[in-house]
Amino acid sequence: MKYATIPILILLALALALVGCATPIAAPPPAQVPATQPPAATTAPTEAAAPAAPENANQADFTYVGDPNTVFDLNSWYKDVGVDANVTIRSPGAVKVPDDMTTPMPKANEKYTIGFSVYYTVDEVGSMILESMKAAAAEAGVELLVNDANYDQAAQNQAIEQWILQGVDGVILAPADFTGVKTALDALEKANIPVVTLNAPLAGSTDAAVISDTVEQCKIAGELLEKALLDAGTPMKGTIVYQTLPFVHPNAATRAKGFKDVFAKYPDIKIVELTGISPEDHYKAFDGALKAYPDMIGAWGLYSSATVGMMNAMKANSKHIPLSSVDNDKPILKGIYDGEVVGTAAYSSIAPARWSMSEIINRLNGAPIPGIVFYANMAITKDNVEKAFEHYYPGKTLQDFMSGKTQ
Amino acid sequence: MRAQAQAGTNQTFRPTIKKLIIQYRTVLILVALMTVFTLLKPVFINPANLLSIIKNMSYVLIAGLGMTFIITLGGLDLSVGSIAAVVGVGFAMLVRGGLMPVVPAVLIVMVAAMLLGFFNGFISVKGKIEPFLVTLATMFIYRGLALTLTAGKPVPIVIPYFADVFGNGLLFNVIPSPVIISAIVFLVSWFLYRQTKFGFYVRSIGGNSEAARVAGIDVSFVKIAAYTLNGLYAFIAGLILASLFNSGLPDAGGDLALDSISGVILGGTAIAGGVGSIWGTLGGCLIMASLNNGMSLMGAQYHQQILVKGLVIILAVLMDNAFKSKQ
Repeated sequence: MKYATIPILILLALALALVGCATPIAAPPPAQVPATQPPAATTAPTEAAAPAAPENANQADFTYVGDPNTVFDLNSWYKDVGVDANVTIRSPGAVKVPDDMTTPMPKANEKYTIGFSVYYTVDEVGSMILESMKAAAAEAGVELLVNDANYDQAAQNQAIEQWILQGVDGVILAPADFTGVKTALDALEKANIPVVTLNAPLAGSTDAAVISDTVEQCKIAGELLEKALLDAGTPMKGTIVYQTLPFVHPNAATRAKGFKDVFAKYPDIKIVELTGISPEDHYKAFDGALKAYPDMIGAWGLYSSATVGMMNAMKANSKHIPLSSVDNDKPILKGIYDGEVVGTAAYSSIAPARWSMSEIINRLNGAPIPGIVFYANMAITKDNVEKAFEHYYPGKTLQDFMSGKTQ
Repeated sequence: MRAQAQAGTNQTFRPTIKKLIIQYRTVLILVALMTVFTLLKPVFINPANLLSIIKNMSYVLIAGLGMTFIITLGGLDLSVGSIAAVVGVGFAMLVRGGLMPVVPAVLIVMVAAMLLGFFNGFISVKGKIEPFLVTLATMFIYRGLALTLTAGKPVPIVIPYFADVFGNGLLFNVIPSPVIISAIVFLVSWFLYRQTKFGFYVRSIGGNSEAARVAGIDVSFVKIAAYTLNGLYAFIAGLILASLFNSGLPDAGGDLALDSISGVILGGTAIAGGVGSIWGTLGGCLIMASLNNGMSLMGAQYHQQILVKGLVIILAVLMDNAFKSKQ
């Protein structure tokens, strides 16, 4: 009995303490995020004595989408493709930007410390974004703290807690989970730390988001396939198979919309969706589809693992179905060169990193920033694939990659 | 004479030190890790960071405590992460749009989680199938259930006090609520494991199932009860996970089984069963959480993190073997 008494007493005390957790805590005053000024051209006149508001160093690269003074309605953008979102963008305006900055990377007014949490680095895109972010930080003159979340939102949330403790000046956050990231965004808002998200969250509040216009991107992918079919004189009837993720991912939903929109005008084309995560999953699914759909006229990989799996399944079955893709992984570019893939809609992994860094530095320097930055998409076909390879992988060539001289 | 006495003292002193090092290997590894991380990144030892470590390991510790019973029993449960996901999405769906008040919803998912645990134990015992195989299958089944229920979509939880009680609430504006929950679960687990007949039966069956049966222990009942109990632990872990993310995520807890098993093994519980320690599981989970936190502070990438984690697990197992050979 004497063994039991102490733990039971401690238990009771802890249970009471837990009840205390539910008691509302005096809420801290709302985070005083300085209101972001609209672009210079539309700024209201200020008092003569006040110092001039700094300009956004990359203003010349911006092409505004809609009203520069209105916050872009990201929630409606997602709603159109059936994805529920409740995200608040704190800065007005949305812009399209070129793949290569024509303006210089802004210099930090002070030696800021920026935290960058990336969702994953164990693939080509993730590792290139990380390296590009490091280079951009060096160019801007800031210290960069890095967290590799490996698709673990709990790990990402913990990194944010650590950075708040360390007193970082700003954070660039590539969400591991688009909904679960709200906890991290709430913590940053409470700590009054500016944040720019690379990819848009589905919940929470952010100063700005740097994203790809994925609807437009996959319209490009659809048009590449459509052109290939028309050029080959294929009757526009039959089945087109595409492969996506087995769960709802906002980027996958918006990509699918862009692709399907292209073929909506062909009533005799049936679009079939298959799912998987790894290239192996997609290989197996497409291997079955090649047998199950004898009327298949085309195929599309919604992201790189899908395309890689589908390319290999076609090889194994000695079949050639026109296949279009998204993403710029090296095997896909090689597939385009070899004629296995008709083309891909891609974006540089360097651009998202550079534009995210530009946004956070401008924000910390007190310059106005657009709430949404759409980085550029590009159509890659056999005609420009070698150039594209050199653009996406500076210092490397497609020929060297194919001959095994470079990885 | 004095020299002889001195030699005798040295002989007894050295083995004692060695024994202590081996016996408290988990604590030593933990202290060594914390010292290294503190030297490299002083913010590591900041009390707020230490609380963050415990908060972020809370659901792994809870799953690990349940797993301690299962591994001591000579079993394994790979499905805890999937049960936690079912709990999160199940709760979120039940309370969505005011469909059901919180308390009945919590009770329903608790019973559901225990039934899923019961199913693991029942199939394993009555079907005479290795727990590894059964829970490998149910890991897929339960994950598939979570994905099917939600069509793969996260389900937001819009009840503010739910997150306060289970996830992001702070007692005295300092202690995160998951820390308190895990402390309660830890004490209950310790009591159950060390002070009750059930704990004794678990250890006896893990040590020698046949001897336990001959001694009159209802082996099947204890095994099924342990898996049902593990469902309860997964329920608590799932509720914390859901409230930490303010949503029921169908892909939540993907690494929960392996993380909790790692913590249990690091803590000295024998994978073959029979020998285990609730305190050891706490130490093992703290080691894993400190590694995660410290390497995150140092900006280590995922591939570096898993490399170091693997090395630490090997080190702990080697020390464990040394301990057993001494015994």
